[in-house]
Amino acid sequence: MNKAELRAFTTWINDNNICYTVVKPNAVIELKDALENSAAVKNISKDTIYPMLVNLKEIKSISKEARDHFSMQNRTPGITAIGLLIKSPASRIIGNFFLGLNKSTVPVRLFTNEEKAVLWLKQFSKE
Amino acid sequence: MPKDLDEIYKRVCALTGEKTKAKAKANKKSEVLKELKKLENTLKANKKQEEENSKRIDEILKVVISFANLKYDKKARLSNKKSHFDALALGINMLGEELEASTISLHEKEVLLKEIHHRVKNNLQVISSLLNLQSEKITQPDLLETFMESQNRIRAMALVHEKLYQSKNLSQIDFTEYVHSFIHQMNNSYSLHPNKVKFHMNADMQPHFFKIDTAIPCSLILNELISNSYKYAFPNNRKGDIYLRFGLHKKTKHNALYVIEVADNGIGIPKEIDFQNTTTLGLQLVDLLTNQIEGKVTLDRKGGTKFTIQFPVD
Repeated sequence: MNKAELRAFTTWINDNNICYTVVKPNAVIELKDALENSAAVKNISKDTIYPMLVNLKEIKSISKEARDHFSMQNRTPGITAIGLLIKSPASRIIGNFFLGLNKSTVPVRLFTNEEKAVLWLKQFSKE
Repeated sequence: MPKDLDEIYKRVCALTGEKTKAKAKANKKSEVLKELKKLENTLKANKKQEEENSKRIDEILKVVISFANLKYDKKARLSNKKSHFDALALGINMLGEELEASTISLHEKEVLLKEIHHRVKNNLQVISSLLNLQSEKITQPDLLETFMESQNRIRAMALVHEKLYQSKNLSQIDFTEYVHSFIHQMNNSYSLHPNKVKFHMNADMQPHFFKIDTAIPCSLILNELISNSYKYAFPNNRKGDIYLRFGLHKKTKHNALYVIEVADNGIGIPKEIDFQNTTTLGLQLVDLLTNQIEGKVTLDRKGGTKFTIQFPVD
């Protein structure tokens, strides 16, 4: 499994053909983290496009620039869909921002249950 | 066991029992005190938390109020407690950032739109000035009049664009204010015989906001009708009056129409002229533009000429 360990994220492609990104506890995500994550996803996914599961459960905050980057990045998608895993009040707020304000062109949905998220994401898997 | 020892044992037992009871009593008291202390501390902590919560609510509200005043630089405080208040503050801060970004682009759009209206007005004025310069070389009275009519039409439209870039929302103008400015402009245009023809205006003093789609046709209708009165109603130095009425005519609570009425006590339009089927450009324009604003035009020939345009509220 090819795994990228970044300052604010851990990212890898799982055996179920879903790209996982876990936000590290209390991460304050800035633009540089967002750029780093996008580069890592591109690097580890090579030419394949995967659905993505983003675990936001432990996130602390995310800057406007980082949000803009993610929403712009997802307009020329290197991914097929995004499942956002939320739990804490902060993760709920951030998740809802990606749903309502920092929109992506690929399907996005919020989940509190990882299994359900994986089940939903699998329909967007191309392999 | 000797008798005295037994006595001693009994006494010790009694004493120990009493001591245990007393000890238990003392223990219970200290436990109760401990519990009370705990309770007191909890109450104190709750009160402190309540005060902190009220403080957070006030802080968040202050930020929301500053957003309502279009000041997006304020940020709500975040603590390290990961509480619901922190999440709310985070959401409010993020919302402020989004609002700030969209307001800046809205402001940029406003500036651009203002600039466009300004340029359109300037260009129209340039065209009007060019016509004016060209007309200086014209000796034929008919042609000169045609040039002047065109100039007036262009100036009527330029005035709409001038009012648009001066207006608050750049998409609507207060037509009441426009009418006043237009009349001033018109009087300067037809000021050759100010003592002969008197202009009387009865325009509603209430502001009535028209979008450009309504304002331009209305401005041209006004221009045609008032120009016609000035030009044709009072030949041979005849004295007279021109009347303009503009306002909202409420038929019922839910049925209101705008009314533009231009009247004069001049010689009147010749009976053989059907104003809705004429070759005159001015009257053709009035008919065409009234249709454009889904209005109705009527002509009353009693005591001169009275055109009434009625059209629906946007």
